[in-house]
Amino acid sequence: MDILEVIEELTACSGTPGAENDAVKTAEKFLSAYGKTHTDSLGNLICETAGERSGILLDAHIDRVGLIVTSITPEGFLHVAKCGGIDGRTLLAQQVTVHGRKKIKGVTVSVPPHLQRRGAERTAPEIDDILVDTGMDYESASKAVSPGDRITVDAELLHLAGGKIACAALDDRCGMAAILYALDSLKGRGYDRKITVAFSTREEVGGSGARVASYNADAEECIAVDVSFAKTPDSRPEDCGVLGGGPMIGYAPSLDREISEKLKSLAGEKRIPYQLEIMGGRTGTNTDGIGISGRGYRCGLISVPLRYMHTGVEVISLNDVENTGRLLAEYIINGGVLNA
Amino acid sequence: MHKELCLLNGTSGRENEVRDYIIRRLPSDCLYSVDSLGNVIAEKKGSRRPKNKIMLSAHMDEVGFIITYITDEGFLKFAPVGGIDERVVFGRSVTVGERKVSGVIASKAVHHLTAEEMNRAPGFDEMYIDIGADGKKQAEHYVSVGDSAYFNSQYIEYGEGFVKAKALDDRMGCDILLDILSSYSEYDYTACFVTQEEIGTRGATVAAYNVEPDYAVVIEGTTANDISGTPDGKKVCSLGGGAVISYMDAGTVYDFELYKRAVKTAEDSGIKWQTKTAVAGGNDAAAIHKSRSGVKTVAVSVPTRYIHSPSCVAKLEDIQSVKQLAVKLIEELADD
Repeated sequence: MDILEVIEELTACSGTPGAENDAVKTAEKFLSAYGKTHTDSLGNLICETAGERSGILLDAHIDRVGLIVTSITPEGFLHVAKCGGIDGRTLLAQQVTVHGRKKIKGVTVSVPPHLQRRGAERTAPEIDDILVDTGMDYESASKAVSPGDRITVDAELLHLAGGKIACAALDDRCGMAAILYALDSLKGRGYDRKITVAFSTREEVGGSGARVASYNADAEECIAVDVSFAKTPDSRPEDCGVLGGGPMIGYAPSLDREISEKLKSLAGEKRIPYQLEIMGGRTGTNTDGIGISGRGYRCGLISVPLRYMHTGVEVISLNDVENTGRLLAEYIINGGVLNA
Repeated sequence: MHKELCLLNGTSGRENEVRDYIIRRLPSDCLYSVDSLGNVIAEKKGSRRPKNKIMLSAHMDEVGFIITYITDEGFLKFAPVGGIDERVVFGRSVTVGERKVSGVIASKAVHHLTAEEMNRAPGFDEMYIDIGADGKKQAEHYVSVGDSAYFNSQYIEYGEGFVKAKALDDRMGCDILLDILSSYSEYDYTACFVTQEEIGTRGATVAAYNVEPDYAVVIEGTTANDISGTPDGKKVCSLGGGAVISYMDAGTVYDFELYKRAVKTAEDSGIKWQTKTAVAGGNDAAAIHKSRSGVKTVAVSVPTRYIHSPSCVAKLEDIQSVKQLAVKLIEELADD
C-alpha cells in the first residue's frame, strides 16, 4: 500500500465535523478491501474483517477542522463560525472552498496594512471578524450558499525535505492511513479474529462519533490512532514528541497500562522506532469517550507526531505513519492484551 | 497572461524571472534596454511623434520574504521584503530559494498558546519556515541565507468576474503595459517595468531619470477595503467601480489639474472610474514626479482587496478600465 497516495486522496476530501460524507466515500474505497463496510447513525464508517471471535477495535477520526457558514451579508460575504478548533490566526486572506450547493471558491478577508491602525497587526482576528469573500452579490451568493454549509481552507499537499509532507487535514487522515497500512500488512499473516475499524466522525467537536461507534462494536479493547504534537523550536520538549522519531505510545491514567507496556515492548522487540507520550489524565482524543462507552473498553493510544496542528500546513513524516501501521499490526498479530 | 505573471516569483531586487518573461513578451517593434537597477525600459515607436514624452510605469516586484538565519535545528528565520501584515503570514506555504523547495511558515501550535498569546498574531520574530530539514546542515543543502521566499498561491478566477492570486500588485500593471505595447501604436511612448517599488520606489527613481519624460502614467494596484461591515467612507475604493484615479496618497500629492484632466478623459471616453476616499498607500508616482526638474504624474490603479497578502483579489472588468484609460491618457497628453 502506498501511504502517500492514500493520504493524498484522503486529505483532498472535505469532511468537516458532521459533514464527513465525501471523506467517508473515499475512505470506503480503501477500507472495503479488508472487510464489510457500513455507516452507522452518526455517519461513522465501520469495517468488520472476517473472523468468528471478537478481536480489537481500531479507531481514527475522519473529520477535519473547518468553518461553518452562519449568515450571508447584504453584500454577499459570508459570516462564519469555527467547526472544530481551527487555528484562527491563519484565517485572514486565505483561499477557501465553500461546500455549498456546489463547490465554490472564496477568499477570507483582511484589512491591508496600509489601512490598519497601529498595533492592529498584532491582534489575532476574532472569528466574528472573519468574512468570506465569494465574489458574488447577495442574490447570487444566497443561491449558491446556505447557512450550515461548510468551508475548508485550500491547501495543496507539499513535499518537504526528508520524506516529510505538509497539508491540511493530516489530523487525522494520516491516522486513517496508518490503520489501512496495518490492515494491509496483516494480510496473509493468519490473524483469524475479527477486527473492527471505526473511522469516526465529529472528533473535533467532542468525539460523539467514536462514542457511538465503540458502543456498537464487537470488541473489548481498542487502539485509537490520532496525531500529537511534534517538537517545534518554540515548544517545550516535555510537551512534545519528535517528528520522525516514530509512533508516540500513549501513557495516561485513562489508558490501559498493560496495552501501553505491550506496545512499547513490541516496538523494542521488532525494532520499530517509538517514543512515549505521557499524559496526566484523559488524552483529548477519542479514547476518552471509547474507554467509557457501553461496557467500557481497555484503550491504547498511538499518535503520529505532527507539527502546527489545526492549520493548513500540518507537517508529518511519512516514516512515522508507516511505523505506526507496523506497530499496530504487530500488536494485533500478537493478540493484543485480551487474546495474547 | 496575468496568470503567468502572478505565478512568477520576484521580490524587490530579485525581479529577474519577471523581467525575463516581460522581455520575451515585448512585441518585436519595441526597442528595450535594461538599466543599472534592472528596470526594463521599452520604447514603442508609434506612427506619430508626440510633442510630450510620455512614460508609462508598472513595477515588477512583489512583497515576499528574505531568509536571514538558519537555526541549528534547521528552521529558517526570515524578514519581510515590503509591507506585509504579520497576520497573513502564519500557516501559509512558501517556495524558498534558488532550488525552489517547499516550506511552511510556522509558529507555536494553537494548543500550546498561553492566554495572552491566544489574543495576538505571532510576530515575524516568532515565526520560522519549516522546510522539513533535520538540522542546519541539511537545511543549508537546500537554502542559503539571503535567499528569497514567496507565498504559494494559486491563480483562481471565482465568483462573478473576480480573480485571486499573489502579486496582483503590480503584475496586473505589467500585464496592462504589455497589452498596450502590443495593441497601441498611434504615438511614441515609453513603457517602464520597474524594480524595487515595495522597498521605497527605488527602481522608478532611476527609470524616470533615465527616461526623462514630460508626463508619467503610473499603473498600479491600489488598496480596496470594500468588504461587508466597512462604512462607505472607509472603503477607499471598490471592486467593479472602475479605474482608480488618485488625487493624493501617502507618497504623492498629485498635480490637481492633471488629476482633473484624467477624470475628464475617463468621463469623455465612457470609462468607469473612481477615486480613493482615503489618503493611504503610495506608489512609484512618489519617485517619478520629483525626478530631474519634475514630471507631471498621474496614477491609475486597479482596485485590489487584501493587497500584500497571498490572496489579492481584483475584478477583471476593472483591469480593462485601467487599460483603456491608460491608452486614452497617452492620446490626451501627447500633444497638449
